[in-house]
Order: sequence, then structure tokens, then C-alpha cells
Amino acid sequence: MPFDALDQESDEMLLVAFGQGDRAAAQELTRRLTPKVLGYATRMLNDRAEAEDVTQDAMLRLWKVSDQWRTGEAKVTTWLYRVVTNLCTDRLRKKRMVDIDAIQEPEDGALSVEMSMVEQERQAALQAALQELPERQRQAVVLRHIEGVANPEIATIMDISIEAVESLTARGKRALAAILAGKREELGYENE
Amino acid sequence: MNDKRNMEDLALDKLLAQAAAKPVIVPADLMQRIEADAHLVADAGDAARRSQPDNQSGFWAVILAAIGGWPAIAGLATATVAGVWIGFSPTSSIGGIADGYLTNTTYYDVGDFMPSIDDFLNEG
Repeated sequence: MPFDALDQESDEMLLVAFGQGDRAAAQELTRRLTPKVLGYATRMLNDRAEAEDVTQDAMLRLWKVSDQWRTGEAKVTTWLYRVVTNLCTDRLRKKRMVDIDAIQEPEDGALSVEMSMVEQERQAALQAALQELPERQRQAVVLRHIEGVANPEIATIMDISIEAVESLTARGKRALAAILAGKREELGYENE
Repeated sequence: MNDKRNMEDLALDKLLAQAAAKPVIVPADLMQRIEADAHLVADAGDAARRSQPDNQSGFWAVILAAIGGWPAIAGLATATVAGVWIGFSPTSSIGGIADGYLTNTTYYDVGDFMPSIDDFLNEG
């Protein structure tokens, strides 16, 4: 596949091309998909090193299924988010078993860009508030409102009904609002 | 109360929108590790494809498989060589029968070729 044509191709076509040995297709997929996977894993795990491990693991699994990929059955991103969701759930479960009281400081290294101090504090508060949500609510809120995934796709990723996704995201947002409401003054919302 | 609630919802929506808009910075070494994994998987795939019979050659591959592969070809070649050899230097009895047949000077009956059923043919 010509290199300059790669950015026009769908994720699925690139994956099939890689399955047939096209290494340039893998480079383009890495460029497209790694930020999504790392962003989601970081939101879920709140641990940069673990999120990077999960990202590498999920991408490796994608490479390995490439030669058996059945076109038209699932979006590549849906498959990938599902794998990441499962990998994060496994890690969170192990972490709970190791030390149930360990609460980490919000870690936002992978997400940092140039922002005002106030905005950075607010984003750190959002990340901390997300960690207080039950895991399934956190998955649904992050996928819907930060990753921008549609509800039917989230339903496939989480293996639940669309109604259950709507319920989880609504409850998750209410809980987030309640957590952040207690920090309005601290985050400078009182003056807005 | 409702105004306060609406304001909180708006602030949360804004915060989530900002989070969604922030580009995720991927460390260069992670990108390299992921691409290196891809190359290893691709190398393994190339090796597997090389070790498989060439399915691209189509027709002859199907014929070869249908008759039993290369061992069957060896058997056919042996039989062909034996046939050519017999054709060039037949035994004297085969030569006599063949001459009679080809020059049409002698008539041969079934019994000449299969003497053991001669009695059976005579008795009906």
C-alpha cells in the first residue's frame, strides 16, 4: 500500500493489510490508535506505567488477530476498547487484592498539555473524581464523554444493553457533579 | 437550587469537553515498543506463509494434490519408463502375438490370451 495513501484507509483495511504483511499499515495504526488506548487506560487505571503496559499489551493482541480479522463484523476501535476494558478490570481487581487502602494521587502525565494552572487543577480534580466512581460507571462515563464513543458501541464494549449504558453514564455524571460540587470554591468556580 | 444544579452540570460538561479535547501525549519509546511488536508478529507471519505450499499456483497444485502428491508422480514416471522399455524390447511371446495382431495374418481367440478359461468357453 503506498505510504501517502495510508491515512485515507479505514482502520479495518489497514489491519487487514498488516495481516498480509504490510508493516507500514501497522505504523499508521499505531499512530492512530495508541493515543486513544493510552488515554482510556490512563483514565481507568490512574497509573501511567500500568496504562502504558496495558496499551502495549492491547496493541500486541491486535497485531496477533490481524491475519484472522473478519471484515465487517466489528469496528477495530470497539474491539480494542473492549480488550483494554478487560485488561484494566483485571489489573484493578489485582490491585484491590494487593492493597485495598492504597489511594494514589491523581496522575495525569500522559494527558498533560499546555494549560492554565486553574485548568490543570480542574482536570486533576476531574481525574480524582473519576477514580471515586464505581468501575463500571467510570468506564461508561470515560468512553461516552471523554473518548466520544457512541452508546451502542459502548454497549458492545461493556457487553451490556444500551439502556444500561444510558443508566450508567447518567448515574456516573450525577455522582461526578456531586463530588465536584464540594470543591467548587477550591477549583475557582465560585467566581464564575 | 435548580439554578445551582444546572450550573454544576454545565461546569461538569465543560470539564469533560476539555478532557476530551486534550491530545494524549504518547511517549516515543512506547510507540517504538508497539511498532517493534508489530514487526515481530509480521516476521512470524511471513515465515508461516513461506513454510506453506504456494496456493497461488492453483491448477497444477490441485492436480498434484488430487493424484497423491510427488510420490504418485514418481510411480507414474516408473510405469512410463517400464512401458517404453517393454515397447522397445518385448519378450518373444508378446512379439509374436503383437505381430500376428498387427499384420492380420493370424486369428487369435480369447483362449489364446486366457488359456485357463478355454474349457469353460467350450462347455458353455
